[in-house]
Amino acid sequence: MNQNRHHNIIIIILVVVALFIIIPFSVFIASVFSNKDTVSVSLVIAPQEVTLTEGNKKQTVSSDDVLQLSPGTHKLEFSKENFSTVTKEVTIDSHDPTRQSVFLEPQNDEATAELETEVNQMALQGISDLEHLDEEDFYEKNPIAAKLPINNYLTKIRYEIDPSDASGSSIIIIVDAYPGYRHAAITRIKSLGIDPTTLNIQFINYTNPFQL
Amino acid sequence: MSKKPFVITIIVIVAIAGVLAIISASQGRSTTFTIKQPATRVAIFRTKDTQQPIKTVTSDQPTIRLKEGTYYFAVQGDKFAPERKEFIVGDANATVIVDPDYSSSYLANLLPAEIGAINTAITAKYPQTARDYEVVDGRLYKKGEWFGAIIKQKVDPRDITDLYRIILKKTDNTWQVVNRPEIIATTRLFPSVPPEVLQAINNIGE
Repeated sequence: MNQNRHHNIIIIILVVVALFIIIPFSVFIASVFSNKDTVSVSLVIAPQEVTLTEGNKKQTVSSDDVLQLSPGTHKLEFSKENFSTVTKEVTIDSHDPTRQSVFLEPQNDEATAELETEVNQMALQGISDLEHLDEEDFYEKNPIAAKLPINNYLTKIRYEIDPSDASGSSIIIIVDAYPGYRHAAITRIKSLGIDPTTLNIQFINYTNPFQL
Repeated sequence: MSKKPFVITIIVIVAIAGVLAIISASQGRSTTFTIKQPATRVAIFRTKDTQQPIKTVTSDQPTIRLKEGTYYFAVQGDKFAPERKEFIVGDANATVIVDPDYSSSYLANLLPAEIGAINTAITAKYPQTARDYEVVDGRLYKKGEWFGAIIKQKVDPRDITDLYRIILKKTDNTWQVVNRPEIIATTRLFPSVPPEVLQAINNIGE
């Protein structure tokens, strides 16, 4: 009887330990393969935060978010209270990442005032830049943009349009990595055949321990 | 009076001038090498890969004739980096400046004499490096006036911490930290450092 009880406890401990190993490993594998058959679609949106509806699926998206869309045509509906609703048909027919600008017209004074905020003004500037920018030139100048985002268990690498460059053709590489793994993110960039020396790289949740 | 001898003389002069011009053109353009390092031999190659140089120049005999085209030069001797550099001879006399960097083995031999002053400069700027960090994989670059290394926190070897890259420059015989250590040394953060030095420092330890 007592022996059976010990036996059960050992099995429960083994199952718990196995789950602790299997679950993080599965998350890691899923993160590696989840983006394999999708294409990155970077969003530049004003107002900053809107609801995106595709079929029955609803989510909140904001400027600089990157959607992962599978090949084919997607009907994307962008909406927000007090703003017009915009529907876009986005066709993904290659593996090249693309970008979409979305502007929702304000429908009343409150919405117009909302667009005056700094963050929305930056988004509007981003839309204007994107509309005047040649997509081919952009990726020629920023070859790494075509290879981002990268998401794995320890590091996330994406890009944002550099607001300090009025042409809208410069990017900032955003690295979100655990302490001790930031260098691994740089090594990942190198493995893409990109020299990080000339990039504008910013680390999230990071403070340089050395003073200027 | 017959004009015949006069015409023949003119034809002969023009012919001789033509032959001399052809001979001169076939011998190529005068190409002078301005060699910045004394007592240096510079080998000239027709391609980037050929083993045998077509000519060699020195500070004493810096001028040769080369036909129009693309050539490569490499500085001979263990002291200098063996890389071949391209130069082009056009339709005019050319001057090529030869200012080679030191070879990695020569720079490695220079390092022991400099490392004390380098460590002093680092500790003076960042006193915590002596206590909490260690400077590893230090190397000199170019003609020994640039130094790059990794700064690593002193922790249990099982702990993973971020690595930092530090760069110093020797000016007027004094080593100075160029900018604060960074995880990646980019041209934006270190605008005064030659890009090839930044690339090399970013590749330390890989």
